[in-house]
Amino acid sequence: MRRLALLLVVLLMIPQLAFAKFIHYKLSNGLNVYLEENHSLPIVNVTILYKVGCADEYNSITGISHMLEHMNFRGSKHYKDGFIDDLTMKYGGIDNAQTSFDFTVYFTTISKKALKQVLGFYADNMDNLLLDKQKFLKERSVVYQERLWRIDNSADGFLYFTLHNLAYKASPYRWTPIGFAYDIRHFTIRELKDYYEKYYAPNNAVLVISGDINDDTVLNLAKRLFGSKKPKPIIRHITKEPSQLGRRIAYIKKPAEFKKIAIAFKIPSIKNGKDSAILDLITYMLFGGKTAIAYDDLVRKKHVLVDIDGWNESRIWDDGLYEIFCDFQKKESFENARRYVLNEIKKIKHGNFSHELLKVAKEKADMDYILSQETLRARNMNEAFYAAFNLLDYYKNYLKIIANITKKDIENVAKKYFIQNNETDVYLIPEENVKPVISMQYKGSLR
Amino acid sequence: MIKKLCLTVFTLSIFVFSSYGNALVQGKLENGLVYKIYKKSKLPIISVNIKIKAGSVFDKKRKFGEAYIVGNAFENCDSPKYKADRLRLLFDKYGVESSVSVDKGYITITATALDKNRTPLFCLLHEILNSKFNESGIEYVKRNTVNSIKSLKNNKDYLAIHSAFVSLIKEKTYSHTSLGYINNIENVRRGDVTSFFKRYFNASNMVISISGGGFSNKNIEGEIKFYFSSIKKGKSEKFPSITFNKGLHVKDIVKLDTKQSYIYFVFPAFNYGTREYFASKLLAFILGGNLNSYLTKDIRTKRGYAYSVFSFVYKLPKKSVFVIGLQTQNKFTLKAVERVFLDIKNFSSYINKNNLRLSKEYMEGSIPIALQTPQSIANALSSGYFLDINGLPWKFNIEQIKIVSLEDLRRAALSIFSNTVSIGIVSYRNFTKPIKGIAKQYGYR
Repeated sequence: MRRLALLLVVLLMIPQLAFAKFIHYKLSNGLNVYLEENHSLPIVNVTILYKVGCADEYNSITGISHMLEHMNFRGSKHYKDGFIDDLTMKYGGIDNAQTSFDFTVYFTTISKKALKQVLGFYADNMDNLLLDKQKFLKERSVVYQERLWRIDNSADGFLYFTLHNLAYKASPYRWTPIGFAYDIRHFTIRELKDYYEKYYAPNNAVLVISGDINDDTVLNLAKRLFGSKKPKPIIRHITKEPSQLGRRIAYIKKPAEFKKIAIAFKIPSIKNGKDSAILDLITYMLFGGKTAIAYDDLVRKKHVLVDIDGWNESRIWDDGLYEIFCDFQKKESFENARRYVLNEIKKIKHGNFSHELLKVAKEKADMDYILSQETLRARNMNEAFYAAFNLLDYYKNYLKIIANITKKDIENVAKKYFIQNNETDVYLIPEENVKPVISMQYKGSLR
Repeated sequence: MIKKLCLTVFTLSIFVFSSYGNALVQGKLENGLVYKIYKKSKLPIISVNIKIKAGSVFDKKRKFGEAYIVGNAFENCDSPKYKADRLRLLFDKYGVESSVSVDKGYITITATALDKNRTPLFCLLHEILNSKFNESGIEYVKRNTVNSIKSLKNNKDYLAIHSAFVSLIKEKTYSHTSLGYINNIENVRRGDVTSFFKRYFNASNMVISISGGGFSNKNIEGEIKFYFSSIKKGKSEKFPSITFNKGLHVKDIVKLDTKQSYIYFVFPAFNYGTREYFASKLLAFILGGNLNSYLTKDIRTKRGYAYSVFSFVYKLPKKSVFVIGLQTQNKFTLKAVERVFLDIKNFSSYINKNNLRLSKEYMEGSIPIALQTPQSIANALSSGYFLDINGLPWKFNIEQIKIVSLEDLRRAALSIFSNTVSIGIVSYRNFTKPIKGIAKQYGYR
């Protein structure tokens, strides 16, 4: 009875508090606009998400979505290079962007006084980017520095990148948003312009504005600034990843203090809904909070690993990956380390866990969900993502889905996806301080 | 029981109203523990921040890492009522998201939960603050700490900034990393942990701050009293003094495989609360606070030398240091170093009325954004307490920033960039000599 009462409280409370009141409008050019009034602080957040990411790239332009993201800050017809940074400097605020496998998103949180300018900036970026060649060349160098920092100079970054290279054979998910180093160094301004022309359009975007606003006023402003943008035919031809027919293994070397393993299993797209939520719960059970069984058993009690973590990386257009990363001492073998991890997964598959553990996992999921509502930025980001890919129902019913997941559901999903046919392993062998092989310098001019 | 306890006299209760209409409630328990409560959320969340003046500067010699082990033992040791396993389960069961951080000055315990789980949250905090510090829990923490230190051996950003700190700061109590040293961790015994705890975890040496929504201040005050009155009385600790080594220091750690150089410049700066300190905060923003800052624009935007170039003021328990950092492709190493020196010495280009005004506006405008979560509010209140700020710390900071003049900014820059700098670098070959050569051209010896 108490459990039922608690469940009712949670279900009644969350919709009111967490989903205050986003209102949806669709402009005639296809731009989806979501607005939410929240007058608790004199600030606003503007988030604009374009449905373009790694999934839309191909060999030779891997990472170009991210390159274009950088160029969105380098000047448009009506807004000078660095405008948004000047604006956040003037009013106080945060502006940034993020490129993912399936989308590119821009956001600014700032004083409500600056709302009109922020919207004007994002509107101009939609179809008036200058994409100046000289600035592009400098920015390309910046992006290359980013690649070195995030991937090539980092054992963990390189492991993550390689895992994708191996887990996929055909899908553009086989690289991560930063792209291959060679491609970054060889993008041309023409390629960038073509890419921009193709994907930056109102019907390929979602605009979310919240904070100390008046819905009607802001809607009119959005209509005025974005209403005249022309929609474009967006044709996606994303290579479908063929079925994996067996376990894939790779060994790589990088300087590191510990041996490392990345293990991935193919999982369905987030559009599959319930299975994705179940995989979230499995993550909480294995790796989340203070009671995570994999961490507790392998790191805390048996000391066979130094660290372990894992998560559900489901994607939009194709299968995603359930990824597990471990560090362990050099004396331990890769085979043993993998076996330890698979034994933990076996517990989930065979239901060798308590009902209490599942209950606790649900509690963690609820708490994280509520904490994700704390800031305007996080709320808008969630709204933009789930709206862009027609997943708002899933998002808004997420806690209900979580509440209804049973122990049997957990076992079934684990048995379905955590199988050897779906598995990819990358083993990182720690390398001593060695001289790098000098890679051939690119000497040609821009293509 | 609670009702009875509520009747007990609170020695002090002050209300301060913020610019956003919320009231700060402050009080002191009979044992001397100060608490601060600030309601601010639409969500039914409560966030608790307990800050104890017990950071790594209090580590004993040859036991560096002691404070870190104490801080991390709380959630890994048995408590009076529960075995450690059970304790962790209860944290998760009630959705209490908690963590312990240890820096040079403080151990900070933070815990956030739904307000409906407020009582278990307080109960669990009470439990861990009465930890039994059993051997097995401490051994786990020590093992984990050693592994964390080992992991840092390949963290090039860490290695570079740490080596710059070590060269600049004379006292090892300040320059050692809070994690400690591997050979020191082995020396930390259970007795060290308990005596460290006994000495520093007293009511006068800590503060508890609470923020969130959905609760009543009166109930919270009652619960604070109920759960934290048993903390023993004591005295407030004093931080040891700090000395900066003067002159030019360059320390290059060679990693043959690296494809980038990681370069950190660390300069001595000022005591918190002084006008120079607030001027240095503005200076850090003007130079490397966002993508349009002076250094960032020059090194990243104009030249493409780095993805990340930034400056910030790192507040030590006493005084502070001014840090400039960047990572650049091997071939740009010396060019980037040269640009940093050239830029920072070019005062007239970035110290002007416009930049002063903009940086002040930025600081002021950023406050509401930083106040969106109860966690950040509670943390700010606790930090403010140890900086002797009686009211709202963000208001105090803005008042101080407002009075910084152009002359203050110029004086701060002149002082910071005068003749002392410590440069820590991780690179594929040793750049010490050429970097010293460049630095000398700009007056550093």
